Amino acid sequence: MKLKAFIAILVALLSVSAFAGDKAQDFTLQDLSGKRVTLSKQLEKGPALLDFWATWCKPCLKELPHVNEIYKKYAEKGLQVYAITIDNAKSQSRIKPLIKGKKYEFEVLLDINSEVIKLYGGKYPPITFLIDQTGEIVYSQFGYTAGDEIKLEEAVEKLFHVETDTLDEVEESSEE
Amino acid sequence: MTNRFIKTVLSLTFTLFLMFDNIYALDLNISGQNEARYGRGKPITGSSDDDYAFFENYLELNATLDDYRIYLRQTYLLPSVPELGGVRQAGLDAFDQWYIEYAPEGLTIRGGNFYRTWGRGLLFGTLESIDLGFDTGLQGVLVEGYNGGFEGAAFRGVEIDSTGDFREASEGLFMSYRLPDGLTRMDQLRIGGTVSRLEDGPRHPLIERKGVELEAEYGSCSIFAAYVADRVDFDPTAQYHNGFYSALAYYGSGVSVLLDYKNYNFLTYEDLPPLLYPATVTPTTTMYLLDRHPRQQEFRDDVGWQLEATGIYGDWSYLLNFNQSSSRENGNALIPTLKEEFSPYQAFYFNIEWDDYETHHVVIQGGVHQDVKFTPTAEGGYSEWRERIGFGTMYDYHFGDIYSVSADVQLLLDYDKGQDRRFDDQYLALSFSRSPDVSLTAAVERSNDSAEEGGTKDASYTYWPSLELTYNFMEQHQVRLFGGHERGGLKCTGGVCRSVNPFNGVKVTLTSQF
Repeated sequence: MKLKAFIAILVALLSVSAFAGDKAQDFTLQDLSGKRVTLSKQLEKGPALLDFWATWCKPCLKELPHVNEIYKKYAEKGLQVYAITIDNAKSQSRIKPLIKGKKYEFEVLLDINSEVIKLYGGKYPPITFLIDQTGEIVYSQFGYTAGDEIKLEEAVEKLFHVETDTLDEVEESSEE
Repeated sequence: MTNRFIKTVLSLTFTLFLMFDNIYALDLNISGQNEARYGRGKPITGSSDDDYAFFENYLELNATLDDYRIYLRQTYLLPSVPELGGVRQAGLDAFDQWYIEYAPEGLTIRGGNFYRTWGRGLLFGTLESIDLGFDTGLQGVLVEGYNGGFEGAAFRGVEIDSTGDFREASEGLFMSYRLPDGLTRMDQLRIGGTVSRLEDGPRHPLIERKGVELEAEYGSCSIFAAYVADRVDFDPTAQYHNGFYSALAYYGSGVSVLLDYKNYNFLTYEDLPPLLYPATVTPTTTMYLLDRHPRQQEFRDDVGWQLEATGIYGDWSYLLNFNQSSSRENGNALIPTLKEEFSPYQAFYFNIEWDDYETHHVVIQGGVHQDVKFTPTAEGGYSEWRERIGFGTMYDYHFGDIYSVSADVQLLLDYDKGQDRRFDDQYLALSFSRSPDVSLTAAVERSNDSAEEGGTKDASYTYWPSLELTYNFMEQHQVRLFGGHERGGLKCTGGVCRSVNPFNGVKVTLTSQF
């Protein structure tokens, strides 16, 4: 009975369409200085990379240096990186020292009630989403294993090429 | 209005959302997650439960339409996973968690379940963890908003209890103001406060609580401080309690230092004072064997501090932590003591990493802690005195862009002074990963602690060998297969720990995001 129920759920879930192509859920969170950041407003400036993490999460701590490298490489092109921590009261005081101590440059947002991670269908960090300027999720990654950062960077690279191509097409058509 | 009625209305509203979205092409955004867990295991000696088969399913759905949002969670236990000392639950709860929310910019009005933390959990703190079976949330109405530097919230609800036996009502108010830039010499200055009232019920009498918090930043330094005082109404008398927490941090170039301090004097109700979840001031390491043994006494009536340094130097990074705590002495203690009758705890952890960000990643970590739990008796009292020394190393080797192998080796030496027992735990895990889809881990753990249950035993050691395969597919699904022996005891996730039974068998977990 239990096994049959498990298989039935498995089949039902496999029929669900892929994540990429979905609209990103909007949210407002505070950053480390208390400023409120709303995703939809930030997307007006450029695409965004959301990375859910926590100070106690071992794979997250492995992934963050790579996320920082991606940020440093693509910030000038307009990529915004938001590392969203789900640390709660127990470990909240460790967030800022860790970020500053390791010289991370991306912006950190606080999801201390784990509500935004749930909005994105997640529970356990790390989870990463790349969102284009229209608000569409173009890449998602659950968990982290070494090498995932290469796929992520490829997705970022592809996003900027696509966006540049689209802009070129618009410019060409307006010239015509 | 009954809970059943509310759930029916919610499910109908959710269905209508879907119908109208299809008919009128509304801008409806739906996301969610499903986690199905199935397992079949053999009974473990010493357990009264001989059926180790379990099936759990958790479905979570979010639907957002403009400023409106509905969240639903369905829990299905047929029955739940066996837990040490816990009651196995069975059955379907249509919506054990839900809320409906209206949230235009700067305002949120929510009916249903909510979790909030103010003052780093000291002024007010609720949280939930499905995995750990821990839930101190509220069900009711929450209104919160912000405008410029002002922030405020008001709520009324009932405390959640998974058995449904306890439904104590609570209400409260939170206000906070962040001063505009340039008004003071501080780069940032915020003050806040709460007033809350927890009605009497089966678990606690009437509690009235007031608290204040302060947050400031100046140059490379920041400080956070919170103070809370409560009155517990034991009609006709009353008891008064208080707690203080502060975090002072300095951020240099590539190095930061944190000094945490706590001084808690609370009456206990079961394990935690209700609707408080204050900082522990003892860190969670990322070393599995050390994490199995957090301080025996926490939160209730203790004073403590921790000093933590984090830094980076070229390809090297480090974390050093020293912390100390003890029970308060007649309510007047300001600093922790090492006197045995005050259940002292002290620990040192280190974590040093080297990463070339291409091929090699090495972690060396370890720690030592001394933990005394003193129980007073008519004859004077007795102590449970433990000393543990842990050391571990991890190595990741990354090759061919998508392949990596890693090894995790840990050793823990444990000395039980009370019973004059010494034993050691050893852990070895080898993993192979292919990014982004496959990860295979073979692990074996052994201990010569004779009190351990489960596993396979030889003359001197108990062994827990296991194999775990994780496979990610179609971008949003993950299946995890576990086979072998799992050690019972304390499992810690996110700084929250619970005891689990040893397990011997097969588990399958399917997690899907959509």
